[in-house]
Order: sequence, then C-alpha cells, then structure tokens
Amino acid sequence: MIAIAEIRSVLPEPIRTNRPLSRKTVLNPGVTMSDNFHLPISGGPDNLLSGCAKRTGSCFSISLKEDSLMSANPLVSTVDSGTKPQTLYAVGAEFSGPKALYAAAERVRDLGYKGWDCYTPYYIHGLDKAMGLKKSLVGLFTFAGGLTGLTGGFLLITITSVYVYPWTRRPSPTSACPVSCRSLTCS
Amino acid sequence: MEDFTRATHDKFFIVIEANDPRFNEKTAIDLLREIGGTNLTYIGDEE
Repeated sequence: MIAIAEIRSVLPEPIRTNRPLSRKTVLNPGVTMSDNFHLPISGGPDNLLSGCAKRTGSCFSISLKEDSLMSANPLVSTVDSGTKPQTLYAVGAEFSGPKALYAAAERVRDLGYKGWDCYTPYYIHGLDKAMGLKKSLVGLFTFAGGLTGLTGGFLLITITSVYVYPWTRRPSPTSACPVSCRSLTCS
Repeated sequence: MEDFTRATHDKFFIVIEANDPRFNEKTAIDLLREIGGTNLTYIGDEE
C-alpha cells in the first residue's frame, strides 16, 4: 500500500483537456490516442499551465506528423485513382463471392503465378486445389511426433518398471505390458 | 479493397504480389479485371 501511495504521489496524473484531439491522431504508425485525454510530459496536476503549454506543443507536432503522412504517397490506392505507392508490393482485387473467387483462382493458377494469395472470410473447400497448393507437410510431422511420443513413453515405462526397478510384489509378471498400455493391447 | 480488414468478415480478395517472377504490373491488372475482379487496388510496400 505504501508503495502504491508513493507511486501515486510521484507519478503525474493524466490531465483532461478541453480541446478534444481528433479521434485517430497518429503519434507513430500503429499508435492511436483516445480523444481529450492524455499524459503530460512532466509535472503533476498542480502546474496545469505548463502542462497545457506542453500539450499544445505536442498537439502541434502531432498535427505536423499527420500532415507529412498525408502528403506522402499512400500505401493503398485504387488503380483508377491514378496515384501509386512508391514501391509496389502487390495488386489486389475484390471478388463478389466464393464461386467467383474459386474460378478466378483457377485462372491465376493456370497462368503459372507463384507469388499470390486469396483472402477469404472463411475456409473454402477445394480452394487449395484451385490455387494449386501442394499437400501440406504438417500431417507428416504430426505423425512423426506422435510416433516418437508413443515409443518414448512406452520405453520409459518398460525400462523403469522392468529393468531399472523391477517391483516384485505386483499381481502380474514384471515383463508384462505396462498398465497404461494394457487396456489397449491385452484388454 | 480500401477496407481490406473485411476479408475476415464478408469480402473475398485475390492479391498478386510483385515478387512473383511473372509479375508485370499491367498484365496483372488486366488479368484481375478479366477474371471478374472489382475495386482494383495498388498495395504499397513500407520501405
């Protein structure tokens, strides 16, 4: 409790401003700020004036950054608008539904494109075939992992209870199948 | 395409990337138009 009280008195509290900031003010790309609420850079609630001065200062720099972002070439722009991003990553198009997408994917596949992808709101059966994707290796790795686990577990039980520490007072011979496996093999 | 996040909601997109060996901006756009794509969009790289 003392520590919390200390922190409360030491750390500056957020100041509510009268002038609301725009809803999505860009501080850094990816960082947005909720409106009319922000932390002062230094000082508590008692030096409100300096806090306000700093606030307007920071607001000014924020709006400058926003302007520079707006003036730069946009990352995403429609082909019809004529503006183009500086370095092109890809060209995309929207399709009306799964059927249209399926047919379109087959066409793109047949032309031999490799670096392309479909974005859908849900799994479309057979789209992997329409895209010409190879069978995933995940199944193989899963099977190998399962087999390793089964063998390891069985060996661990058998080696410890049969060879390392054979417990003679048990109702079945020590060489019998481990209890955990018996329901599977010996029923 | 401006609202690409709707790909997780109700929209379907095909995107042809520029790093494809066959990629040519004009042919890619023509292809997407021809196969029924609407709202064609350039997607930029951040660098």
